[in-house]
Amino acid sequence: MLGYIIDPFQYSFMVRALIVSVLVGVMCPVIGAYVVTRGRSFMGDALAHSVLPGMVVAFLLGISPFFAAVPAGVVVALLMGTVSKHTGISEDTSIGIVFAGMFALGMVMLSKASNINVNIEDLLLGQVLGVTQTDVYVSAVLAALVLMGLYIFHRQLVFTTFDEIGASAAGIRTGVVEYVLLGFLALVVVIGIQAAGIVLVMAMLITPAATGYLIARRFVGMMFVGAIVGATAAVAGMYLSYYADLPSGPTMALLSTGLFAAAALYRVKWPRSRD
Amino acid sequence: MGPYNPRLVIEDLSVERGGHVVLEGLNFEVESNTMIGVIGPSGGGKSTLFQTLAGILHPSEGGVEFHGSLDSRGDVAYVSQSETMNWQFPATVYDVVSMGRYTNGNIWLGWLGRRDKEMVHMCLNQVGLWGRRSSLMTDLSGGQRQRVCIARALAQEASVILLDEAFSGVDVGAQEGILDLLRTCCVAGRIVMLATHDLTDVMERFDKLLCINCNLHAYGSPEETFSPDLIADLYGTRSFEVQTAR
Repeated sequence: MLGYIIDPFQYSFMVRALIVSVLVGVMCPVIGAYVVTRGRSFMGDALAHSVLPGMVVAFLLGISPFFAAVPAGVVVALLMGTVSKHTGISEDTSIGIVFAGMFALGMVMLSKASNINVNIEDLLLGQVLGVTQTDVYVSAVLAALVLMGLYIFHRQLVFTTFDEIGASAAGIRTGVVEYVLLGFLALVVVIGIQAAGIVLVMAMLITPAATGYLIARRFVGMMFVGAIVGATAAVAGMYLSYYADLPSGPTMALLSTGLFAAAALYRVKWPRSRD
Repeated sequence: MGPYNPRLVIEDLSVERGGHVVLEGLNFEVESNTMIGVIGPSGGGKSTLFQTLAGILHPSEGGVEFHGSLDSRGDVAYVSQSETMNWQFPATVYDVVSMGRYTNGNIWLGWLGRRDKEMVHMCLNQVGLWGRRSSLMTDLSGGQRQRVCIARALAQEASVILLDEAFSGVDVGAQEGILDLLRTCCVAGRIVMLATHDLTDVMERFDKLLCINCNLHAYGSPEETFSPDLIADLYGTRSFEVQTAR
């Protein structure tokens, strides 16, 4: 049994995959806790789809997708907020417009970019076994930055999430906090795409966080439970992907969904006691 | 006189939202240790007034002067309408009162210091909810939630406490308890302003009533202010006469 767990690590690609899986499994639910409690899941999904053009540009330039996708994600996140603010169109509509438009642009660019060596399926569904050394370094640095940022902004993010007007009256710049959160979200989504792909990164971002919501009582507990669930799904998904030759993204997503279903059944059978 | 000594001077205050004038030419002053009931119809500008006093909205004309112990933005605590709060957020009573400490420059990093914890403890005792500190907010009644939000305002060490639609979802018995609690807040020198669309049952509990519907319709003690004519003027109907006569 132990051999099954350790043996794959004679290959350096598996070591890289393990590191990225853990980073994705932990980072996605930690920021996902804000996405879930703020009711911004659609925004997270849209953000993941909208970074596609940025990634295509990175492939065309032959650089790590991070260097183009991260700025693209941040720009898209800001764009979604701005469209809604300045046109009076409801936020979910403006998110939908930017989402579809950017994803379509990315797909058209991909279809015309014949000289790039990228598997579209891996991009959409994730392939953690294919991450490069640079991807690992960049993911680790970005994850550390986001964790530090979330800790530094913890009070402002929590107060703003619970009571935006009250927080604003207490002197917190809620608009700035919102953009900071979107910026972090864009970074985490790009880290997550490596493992779970554009289409399925939501299964890492919101499903483990929602599982945490069902199990834990308080917000920080929700983040911790989410991180444990996310890391479990990601690492187990990585092993299944290796041994059963399955695409990593769908495998992780299925495991994550399974863990959520188990938590949901538990909560239905044993409802949360008051106090 | 308690530790707080705020004074508010509102001069010629006009506020626009989305190109519409919501408040126009308001002039009034509020002294320390005063409990004010703010009444007016829905959309009459009560929330706008409070959000302007709290520094969230900016006047299009005129302004608000802060005097006495009021010197920074965090000195005004705002208890939002229950509907605007995010009840999806899994927070205990203790967590919410802790948020009161996330102000006046203490907005960075994660955990509370010793003085913060003492303050949270004291404020929860003051509103009688220390025993429920581990309860989830969603498990509390409307009146208890309102008490938690008042404790948060106290933890903020604010000189002015604004409560928007404070009695929505709060039963009459609990309203009395909250008014008693707010009176103790005033005794420490604070200014407390409470907005509601219907104060007929409790108006005598306030030092002053502020009646607004875009303009200032009346400002003074309940006895000299509240009349069927005022209600007709404010709401465009005399239907409140039945309730006032009751």
